[in-house]
This record gives sequence, C-alpha cells and structure tokens, in this order.
Amino acid sequence: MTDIIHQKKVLAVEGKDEVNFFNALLKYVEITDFEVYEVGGKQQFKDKLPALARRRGFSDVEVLAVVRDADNDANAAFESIRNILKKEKLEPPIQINQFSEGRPKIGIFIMPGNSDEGMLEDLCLKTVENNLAMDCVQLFTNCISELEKSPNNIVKAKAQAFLAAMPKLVTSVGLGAQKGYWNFNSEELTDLKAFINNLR
Amino acid sequence: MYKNITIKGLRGIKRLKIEDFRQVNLFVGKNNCGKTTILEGLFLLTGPTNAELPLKINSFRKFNVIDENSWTLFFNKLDVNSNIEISGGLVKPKEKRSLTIKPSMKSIAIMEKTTIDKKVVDIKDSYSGLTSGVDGLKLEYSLTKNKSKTPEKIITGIVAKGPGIQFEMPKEYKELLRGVFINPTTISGDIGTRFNNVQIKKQTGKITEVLSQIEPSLDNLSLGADGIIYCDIGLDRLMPVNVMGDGIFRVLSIILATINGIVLVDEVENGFYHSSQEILWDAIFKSAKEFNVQIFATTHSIECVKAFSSSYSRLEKDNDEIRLYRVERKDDDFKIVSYDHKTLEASLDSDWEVR
Repeated sequence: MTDIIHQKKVLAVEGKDEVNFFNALLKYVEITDFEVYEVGGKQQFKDKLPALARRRGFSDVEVLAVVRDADNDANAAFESIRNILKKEKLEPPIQINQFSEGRPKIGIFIMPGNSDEGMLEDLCLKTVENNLAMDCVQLFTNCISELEKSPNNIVKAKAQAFLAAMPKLVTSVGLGAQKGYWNFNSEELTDLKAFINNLR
Repeated sequence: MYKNITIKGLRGIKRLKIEDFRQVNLFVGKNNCGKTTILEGLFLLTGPTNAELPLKINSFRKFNVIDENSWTLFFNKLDVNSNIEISGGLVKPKEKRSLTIKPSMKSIAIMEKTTIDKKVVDIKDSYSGLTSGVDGLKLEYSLTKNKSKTPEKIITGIVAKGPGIQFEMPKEYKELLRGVFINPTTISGDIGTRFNNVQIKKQTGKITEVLSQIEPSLDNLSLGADGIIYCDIGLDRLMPVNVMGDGIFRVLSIILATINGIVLVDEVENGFYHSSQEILWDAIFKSAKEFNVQIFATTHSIECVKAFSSSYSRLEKDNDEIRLYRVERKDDDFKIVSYDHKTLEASLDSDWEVR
C-alpha cells in the first residue's frame, strides 16, 4: 500500500499504458521530480481524482496535470474532468491545455491533440508516420479493414502492428515508449511537451 | 444524530471541526493525532450536564488519580486559562449543543513572613503572593432546540471535597440523548446488565435476529441467574455466549451498546481476527440501522478499514450513510480529510493509503 504523495508535481492518467508512456516521455525531456498515478480507465476519473485529492501529501502538491483520451468529443472529455475538479473545490483550468492559477495549479490535456478525436495510440502513430515500417503497417491495416469481421478499434490494431514490426516485440504502446519505438522528437508532440513542461 | 462537532482546547486538540457526520463514522490517523479525544469530546457533549463524565474519560484511559494536577489534564497544553469548548449540531431532533468546561479555582494565600510581620500588606504584593489551584471543573451547557431562539442554560460542576468528590447535578434538566463509550477495557463490562435492559424493553428478538445473520444456528438468547448470557444453537443445552467463536461475544457486546443513541467505540478492531472484521461491521451496520443509533469508532487497522468498506458495499452501498475521517495533525494544526464510501472504495481499489 503506497502511503503518501511525495512529489509536488503529479500527473493523473487513464491506465498503465499511459503511465509507461509518460514516464518515458518525461524522462526524455528530463523531468524527474514527479509522480504518475493511473486511475484505471476514463470512467474512473470521477472516483479516483477525489481519492487522489484526499491522499496524505496532496495539500503540498503544486502542479496537477490530468491527461485523458478525447474518444469522440474532446470538449466533453475536458468538461467532464473540469466538473469532477470543481466538485472537489479544486480550481480547474478554463481551457484545454492551460493551467489554472490555484494551488495546486491544474492542467487538463485531452489526447491525442486537444481538439481532435482519438486516444494515445493516435498520437503515438502520428509520431512515426515517416518510419519505413509504417508502409507495411498501412498495407496490413488496409487489408484487415476490409475483413468481414474487422477489428473494433482499428487504431489500436494499427499501433499493435507497428509494435510488431519493431526489433523486439512489445505488446503495448506504453512499453513501446519505454523501448523508444515512438519518436519523441516528432513535432506532433509539441503541444503535449509544452503541456508537461509545466511539471518542470 | 450529530451532524458536526467543533472541539477547542480539549487535551491535545487546540481546534478541530468535523462536518457531515453520517450514521456510522470511522476515524483513522497516526498515533496521537486526536482520534480518541474526538470520541471523548462527543461523549462529553452527549452527557453535558453529567459532571462525572470528565472523570470517566480519564478512567477509560486507565487514569484514576484525582488531585490538583489531574484536573489540568483535560486542558490543551495544561493551560487552565483557556476554556474547553465543545459544540455540535444535531438533527432529528434538530438542536445545537454547546459545552464550556472551565477550571474551578481555589485560592491559596501564600504570603511572605516578612510582609506579615510588618503588619502592612501592600495590595500589589499580597496579590502576587496568591496562587490559585484547580480543585474541580465547571460545566456550562447551552442547548438551543429546533426553532427556539433562546438557549436553555445549565451549569453543573465537580469539585474535590476532602477525600471525596462533590457533584453538582442539574435540578430540572433531563438529558434525553444516550451515549455509550466502549474501549478494549470496558467492552465486556456490564454485559449482563446491558442485556437485562434489552430484555426488559423486549428487544431480545431483535438482537437475536442480528446475531443469527452472523451465526445462523443461533436461535435464542437468555440471561442466566449467574449473569452469563446463554444462547440456543440447537444443542441439548444452552451455550454460554462467551465460548462462541468468531468474536461473537465481542460482537454481542457492541450490539448491546448500540441500543443507545450515540455509541463511541475506541479501537473497534480490537479482539477481532482479520477474517472476522467483516462480521463485526456487518453487525454494526445492521444494529445501527435496526436500533437507529449513530456510531463513532476509531481504528489503526487497514484490515478493519477494508472490512468497513466491503461490508457496506454488500449491505447498504447506495444509502451514503458512512464516512471515514482521517485526522491529520501537524503540531497544533488539525486537518480532517473525509471519505464517502465511493471515494474510500476507489482509494482501496488503487491501494492508496487512507489512514
């Protein structure tokens, strides 16, 4: 059982994949004094954010960054997190990708790119669009899309296909990030990097 | 039923306010954070005209000495110049209670011999030569009922007189709220008397009903002439409830206390194996509902907290009638962090410490 929040900068994300992804990304941009907490799925934010805010040590937290997937509607996802924070009497940001001025100052980033629809996998794939392996992945994805029983989530399938094309197989985008398979130097990550820069 | 309480100047607590009490309330926190003192504050406010209660809360802590110094132990930092103030809001019936505890001072004149010899006593000097001692407590209670604007005021007290103690009791006021304080040393005391009271009120059946959900073979309870409670579990003869397994004796002790209005249980987990904690909470939730009592308990044990949450998930879940409060203390500052059932479940699910 983890006892208290030790760091003054805290990131709350959906699941283990995001934890691995952000640990890798923050390490890449040389931010070290932070803690990442997974809430266990987007439906869990409403119970887990209040639980996180009650942890011993939260009153010393200076920056809280919340990251969740847009799915079909980035604005709805943003408002949903804002409402949870307001209920907790925490000051949410007014706009996506901005931080509030309260204590802690709070920012909300909606994946994959704030105003878009989608998820972590979309963002990861955008960073490797110029990777040669993507030609094979695209052909494979086109092919499976035509199947009578095609995958429910073609983006996830595409991300898995890309990971399968890497030298050492890993089965999740988070572990892919740890292996350096996604291109953290990509311009596609400019907004996200600017956002997490607030944890510096 | 209490909705809130404010405690100022009682033992280690300089100032603390707790709001949003529910039917069953569990306090957690590190050692010496004030959990037991909160129960004591509630106990004093539940019997605010009973001047014996301050002595009782000392005896619950196994401190039975009554001398000049013992009276100061109730006051924050032993400072008898700052009163103890405990106030609380209740619902059903709606009322506001406020209790101020002051030291009862006796003056002891200590004059310099030389001053007396001179036969001239300078007022300033003679005042500085007087010291005061505490020989008891004054309890000033104020009760504002529902729509009444003027509070009812009752003053009582307790004073050391020679080798004994003199209590000043209210002449006309009758306290309707009942409270019981249970801790590991008092839990089994008086169990026969408590059971007898239940028997007189014809409520034995309800107790049996709650217990039988924990021990299905238990059919009937009765009090023997020897003061022992016996239970019928379908054998040829009755069994003393003391020998029943799974802490059922302790469960019964707590249930018997819960036929009163406010029940305060210090170290509720004490005496229960980890695996029996849910049985304990099942019994507490069921009897709290059955007898319409409000429970305040403390615990150190995470197993007890987990059982508190999981038992409630099974039994009630949607009624939002429990709260867990973590008492955080940093020097003189007290902070209360309150968890409703959903937030508690979410924390335990993530393995995030709540104590």
